Amino acid sequence: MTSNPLSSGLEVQESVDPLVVFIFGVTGDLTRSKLMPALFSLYLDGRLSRLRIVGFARRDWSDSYFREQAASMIESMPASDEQRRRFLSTLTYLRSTFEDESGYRQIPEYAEGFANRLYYLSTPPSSYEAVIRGTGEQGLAEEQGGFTRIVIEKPFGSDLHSARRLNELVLRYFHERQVYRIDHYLGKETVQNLMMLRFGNGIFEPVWNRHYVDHVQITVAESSGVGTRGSYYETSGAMRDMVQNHAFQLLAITAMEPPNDTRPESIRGEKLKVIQSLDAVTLREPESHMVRAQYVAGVVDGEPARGYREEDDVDPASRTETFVAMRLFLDTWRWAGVPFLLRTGKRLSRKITEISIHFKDPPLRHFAGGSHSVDRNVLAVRIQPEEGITLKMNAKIPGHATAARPVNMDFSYGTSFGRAVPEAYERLLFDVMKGDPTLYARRDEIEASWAFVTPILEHWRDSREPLCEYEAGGGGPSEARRLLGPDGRRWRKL
Amino acid sequence: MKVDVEAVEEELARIQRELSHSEVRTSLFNLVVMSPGAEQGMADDMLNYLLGKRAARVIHVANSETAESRIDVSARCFVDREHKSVCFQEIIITNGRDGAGGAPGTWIPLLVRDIPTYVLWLDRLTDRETLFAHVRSQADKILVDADHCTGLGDEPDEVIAILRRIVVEEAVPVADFSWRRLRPYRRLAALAFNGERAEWLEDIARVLVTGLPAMSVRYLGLWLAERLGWTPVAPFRFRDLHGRLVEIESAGGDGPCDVCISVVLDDERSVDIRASENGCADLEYPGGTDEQVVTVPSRGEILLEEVDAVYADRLFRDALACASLKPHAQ
Repeated sequence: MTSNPLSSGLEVQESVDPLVVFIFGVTGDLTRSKLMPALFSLYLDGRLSRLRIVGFARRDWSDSYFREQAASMIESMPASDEQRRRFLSTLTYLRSTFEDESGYRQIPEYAEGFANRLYYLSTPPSSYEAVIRGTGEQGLAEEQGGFTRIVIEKPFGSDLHSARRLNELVLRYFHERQVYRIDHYLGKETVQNLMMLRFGNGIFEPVWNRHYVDHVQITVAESSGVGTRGSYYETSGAMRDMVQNHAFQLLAITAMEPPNDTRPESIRGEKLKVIQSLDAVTLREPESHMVRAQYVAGVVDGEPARGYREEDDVDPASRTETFVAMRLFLDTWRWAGVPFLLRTGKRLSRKITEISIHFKDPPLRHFAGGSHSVDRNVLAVRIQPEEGITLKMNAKIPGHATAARPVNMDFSYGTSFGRAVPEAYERLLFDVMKGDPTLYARRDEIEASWAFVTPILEHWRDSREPLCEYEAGGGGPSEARRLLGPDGRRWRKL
Repeated sequence: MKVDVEAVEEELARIQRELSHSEVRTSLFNLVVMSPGAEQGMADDMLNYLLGKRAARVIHVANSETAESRIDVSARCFVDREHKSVCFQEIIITNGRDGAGGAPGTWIPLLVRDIPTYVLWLDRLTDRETLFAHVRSQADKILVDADHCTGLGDEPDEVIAILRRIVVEEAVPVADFSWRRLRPYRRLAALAFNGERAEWLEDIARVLVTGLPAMSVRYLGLWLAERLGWTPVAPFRFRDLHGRLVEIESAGGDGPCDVCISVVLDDERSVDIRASENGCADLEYPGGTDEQVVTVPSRGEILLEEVDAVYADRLFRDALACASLKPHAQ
């Protein structure tokens, strides 16, 4: 093919080739709240050159009803009537159950004229197997003059065995390069900014190691309860819902070695090494390295809040954990001996996601011993809310005495940048269309994290130890303090 | 007019404290707006778009017929639903007949140090050499709108000659809003010649343009010339790599679309780009058609884009470099 000199320097390369997107389970909430707005936004940006969207679900919808529904999903987005009309005209509906072979046999007809195909599994996890088998058995994973890719939502399995089984199934039909396992946390701007902070600045990396860092805290706290997701949460718990995926991804990006370059495989390879280096001491001595707990009734935002066991669709004798705190160690040259303190929970006092690097004391404490102590330096990267970065340092209090107090150097995205950042799904969808898997989890990453987490889940399943409790709206169970050790460490306030 | 920099800083801090809970220094850049008085409304429209999206110190130097220059300070904050506020610190310098307000000694000390300075030049480019020289010395990037300059009376060829000198010879980063507005059409033109159709780029005989301003048509010609190796022989005439003449013809906007670009090939077949104000565009070429979305950014949107990038567009520099030093030579 002749090269086109007019394309140079323009965003022509930043649009994707014509493709057809099959959304399995299109009638669900994810399509309404995330997928359709993200696709329309990409369309308005001119990033989708020629597109067809095929909704695949069992409900008795027609093309026109699907378009009506889609119109309501994008109605709040600014666009001209003609742009809406043209976008909606790309939508078509294929009615079928996920188990019905004849539905899959119609897919080639719906993909007529498009060499590139994207299958998006927006179904409940229980239907993943049927859709993967349905597409695979009909030879729909094959690539003929274009790409065929499959996006699988989290949760990817519920333990190591089920994750391996799902991986084996999908890889029976698709190559690994065709499989995109989504964790929408990685699409968040501030998570990506963590890599910019570490590798786009010269001053942090030299101190980002055991010589200077005392410990690292990773907090993924939610103030909400389980709401209407009680039955799901009963089978999941905090470990599966948050730790195995989101929290471990944050851990991996925080602790990974600088990649040789920004190619997806370089970054994913470094992240994998972090998960693989998790020290088994946590597994050998679970009681001294982990705390699990469940919220009991309390007060949230001034209103009484039920305990977990009183929530809808929750077993009154449930032993599902709604809070997990862990002390993890990494067997790497960089991090040997540095505790990574991780906590996540529901119904805590505040919704916060952050990573904080707690530095060691200066080698000589010249200014200690007075009435004002000198605090350790802390670099806190706030992911939500109030995205930003704070460096806590010590400054002299004006006056004759040599007294110090901690002060903050603060950068807040919200006060310097007011522009709405792209939705995580928009970024992730565009990446899969371009074939960039950097922000997606690879098979070995998923299995490595389940390999670490599964023995813990099994230990908890067999354990008769009572769960700790914490009051809804509080800061978590007091037992989590014992993970901090004897060195004057404290959990950061929520 | 006496400028008490400390008093100005104090007043700005006081106003911002009243408007915003944020105590930290948040400005990402200085934006110096240079405008004749009549352009105040246009500048305000652009700044209104920026408000709430980026924190900045804005120094607006506007000419006035008043005898004495004067300085007013204010701050504007946009508070969003999460109660985060993004603020402008505004210093409005009214440049009176005494000329003190426009003097570099007035506005340069008011720039926040250690952050980039962008100068938004809304005046003519010709006959402003002295002031423009001061601006060049302070600016990390100069933002101009060549269409606006020609509207104020500058000749297009003079504008290109000045920009060529500044951008190509003096290597000053400049962003031209006219050039940026052309990007959606350049993108459509690139898409129209993608794949096998790229071979036709060697067979272009003429380009007919309707609905684009004069500067944009010139820029379109320079861009095509630079990309395709054409040599300029006149503002709208080039010689291609085979020595054949290629002409760019421009007409008013009465065609079947708001902007039409018709690229006519040697055999009289054509590749047509038709864009409408409704944001949709159609590409028609021998053997096929294609639908595209086209979004021409507003001045405010371009301003936002440009203050986020300290660098300037390399393609703009390359296109200007292609402009003939002797524009009317045959």
